[in-house]
Amino acid sequence: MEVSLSYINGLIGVSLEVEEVTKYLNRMQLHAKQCASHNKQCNIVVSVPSSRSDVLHPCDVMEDVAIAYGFNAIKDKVVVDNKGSKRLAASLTLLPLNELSDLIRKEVALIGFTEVLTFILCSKKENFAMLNRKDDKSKAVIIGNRLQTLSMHLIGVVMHPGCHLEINLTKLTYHLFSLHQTAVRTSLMPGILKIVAHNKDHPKPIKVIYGRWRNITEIPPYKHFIVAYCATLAGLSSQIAYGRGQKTSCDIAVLDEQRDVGAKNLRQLAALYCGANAGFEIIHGLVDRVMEKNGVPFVSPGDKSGYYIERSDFLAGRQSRIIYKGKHIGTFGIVHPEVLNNFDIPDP
Amino acid sequence: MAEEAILGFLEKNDEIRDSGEFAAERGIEHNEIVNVIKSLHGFRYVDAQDIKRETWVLTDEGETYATVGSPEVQLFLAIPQEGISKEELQKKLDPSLFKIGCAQAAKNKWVEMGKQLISRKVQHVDDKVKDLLLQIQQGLNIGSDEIKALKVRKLIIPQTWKGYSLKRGPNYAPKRKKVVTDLTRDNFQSGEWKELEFKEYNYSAKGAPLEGGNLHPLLKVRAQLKQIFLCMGFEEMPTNNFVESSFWNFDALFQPQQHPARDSHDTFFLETPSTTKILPEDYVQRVKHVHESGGYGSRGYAYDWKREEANKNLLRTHTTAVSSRMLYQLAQKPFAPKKYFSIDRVFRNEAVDRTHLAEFHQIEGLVCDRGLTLCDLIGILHDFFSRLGMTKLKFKPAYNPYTEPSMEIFSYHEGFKKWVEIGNSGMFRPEMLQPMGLPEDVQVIAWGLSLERPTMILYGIDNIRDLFGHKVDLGLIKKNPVCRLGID
Repeated sequence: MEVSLSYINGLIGVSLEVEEVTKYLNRMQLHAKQCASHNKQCNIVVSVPSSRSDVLHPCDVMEDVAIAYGFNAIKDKVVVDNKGSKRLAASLTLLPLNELSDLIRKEVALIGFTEVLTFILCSKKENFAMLNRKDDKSKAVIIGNRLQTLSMHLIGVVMHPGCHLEINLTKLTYHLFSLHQTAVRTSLMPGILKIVAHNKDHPKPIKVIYGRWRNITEIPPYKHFIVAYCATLAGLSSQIAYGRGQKTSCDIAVLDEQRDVGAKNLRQLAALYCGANAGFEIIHGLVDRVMEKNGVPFVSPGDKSGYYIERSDFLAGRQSRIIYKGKHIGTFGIVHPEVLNNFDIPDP
Repeated sequence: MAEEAILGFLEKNDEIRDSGEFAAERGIEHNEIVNVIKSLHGFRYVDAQDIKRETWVLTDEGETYATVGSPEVQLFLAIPQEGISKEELQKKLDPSLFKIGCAQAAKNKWVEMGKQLISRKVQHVDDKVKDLLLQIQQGLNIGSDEIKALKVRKLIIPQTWKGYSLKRGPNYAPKRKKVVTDLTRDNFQSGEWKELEFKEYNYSAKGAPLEGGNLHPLLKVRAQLKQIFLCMGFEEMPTNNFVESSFWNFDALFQPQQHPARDSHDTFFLETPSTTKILPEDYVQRVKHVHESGGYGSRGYAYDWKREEANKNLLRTHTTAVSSRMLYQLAQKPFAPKKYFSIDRVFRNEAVDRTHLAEFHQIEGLVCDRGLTLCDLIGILHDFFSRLGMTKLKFKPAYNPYTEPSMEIFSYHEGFKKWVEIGNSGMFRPEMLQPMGLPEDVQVIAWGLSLERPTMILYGIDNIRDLFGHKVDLGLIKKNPVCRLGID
């Protein structure tokens, strides 16, 4: 059998000299020698013994060269080659945070919560006062560009949107609609409570999911980053399942001095249950479910290998904090009746 | 009543020093006070500190002696001045009284036990035992030696009195709020919630289990693998046909008709429908020829190829049958590079054990392009398996009738601390590709593995029947975490 050197090199993807090839083939008990030829074509004459009935085609000879060369020896060159190979250029990656969020969405829906999708924008009033929270002006991203349509004498408002915006706009009743769009929410709760408020005639209980799960990953081992990250977590009233029943998952925007633009998105999950009673233990069950589907075990307080629940006061005796590997990642509890009144919701 | 007394008292005073004294002053039963204190402490209206006092109380025997006198005194009084015979004395007294009385009186040297008579040795005795018992009954203190003596005779036993001293607690209020377990529509709409207090919630227990469904772990892994293939630019092949022709399953892949895999003990051949009706005839002729006589640079297998053998229907033994169909269709058009994948069920006539089933899911990927090399195959395997978390690979030569070269893929498992075979791979033979009509410089690289094995490793399952089939525990499906292959 006569095999060309270019065929062998071409299929294996290496550059071997004819002397190397004949050496390898002889090692494989295929007696090979270079063929004397008048043209530039470099051929190898292979004498195939009768015991090698599997050698049918030049590709079988090529394989023997590859075996003698070593499949694992080829490996060392491949990573570099592959990166430059335009044939295999498609090597794409999806964002892990989005992938995990989609997995959690499906799991929460499987246990009977319905997903909702509401607006990012909300009024400052909804983001803080109606949730019985104080605006410490360290979280909300405030929109200023809507003011461009206002008349000249209000241009000054743009310079101080945080403190002046409400004062001035409340005097202009025909612009009241802007009040609802002056902040980017720092919590998923306003949207989820609005869903309940606008579905009062829907049979109770309502179980709604909205948004996506916070990414549970190990924090990188940079001390400074850890501190900043923990501080951010502690500062937020972040939610695994806040209130009752309805669940929502989406991004929220918070102020963050670590970022070049001064703010970042956090991925969160919120859920709410609304019915004849508050359903605290149902939301607690949802917390357990989400943890189980992330492979996180339930542990005793203080144990850092999993998660546990500890008490935190909100509506006395009915709010809790979720501690995951020693870090506070969420809270759940009964929505305070004053907040329910603020959103005009008649059921707890 | 007791509750109001306690809360009212603490409103104007810093503490209640002794709940026993407090109960006595108020004319309230101490037990009632104690029960109320426990409840108030539980709701943190008050801070309660335990008070324990150990006292002695009389046994029944002790009560008797305190009333009628100790047995030794009674015995002494039963003896007349001149003495009395033992028999007569026994008749006078209760038997146990006689026994105890004799022992104690002799010990005290009050009497003499003579041969004929029992007589007094002293004229007068004091009943100390009775006096001590009466003192204890009145709550007076007595010496420890005397306590010990009485205790030995089982006339007294210890009793612990428990009480509390109280101060205002963090939740103190002059009057107790109503306690409920939940915020309800009724107490919310009536505004009553402002006055309510909630019972303590047990946070060391889990919440209520929620009814709902769960996804099967094997199919969760399949979904993640599909995502990985899409990210690498592969499109999915249609594998929705379990019945296949021997032609596409074996012959088109240049597998000889006498190959052992085509024996009935390895393949499920079908009784109905038993034969294939339609095949592309010109392609069949080229396949027949390349099997018998070779061509395209090959010398073939040099055997007599039979159409009836190729026409036999079977349950496909690998998804490469679909790959051969796809490549054939590709060859009927002007050539364009392609990347295909599939993940679906295949069937083998195999004995079932903890790691093998007669049916399982095969994962397959292939790339069809001009000028592909073994380097490209190895490169794409590294990319694919690193997304599954397998970063250390090595390859071993293997034989497959339709690929050349053929490589087994091994990965080092950090948990098992050993190399584990994870798949098979190779480049399709020219005898398979060129009869289809593909150009001579077109190469196809491909690899395959099972879906079950990595899933078992990922989730720590060591029996395949615990993962797949009708004996699977539904509890496992419920507890199984999401699959994060390809996600960090």
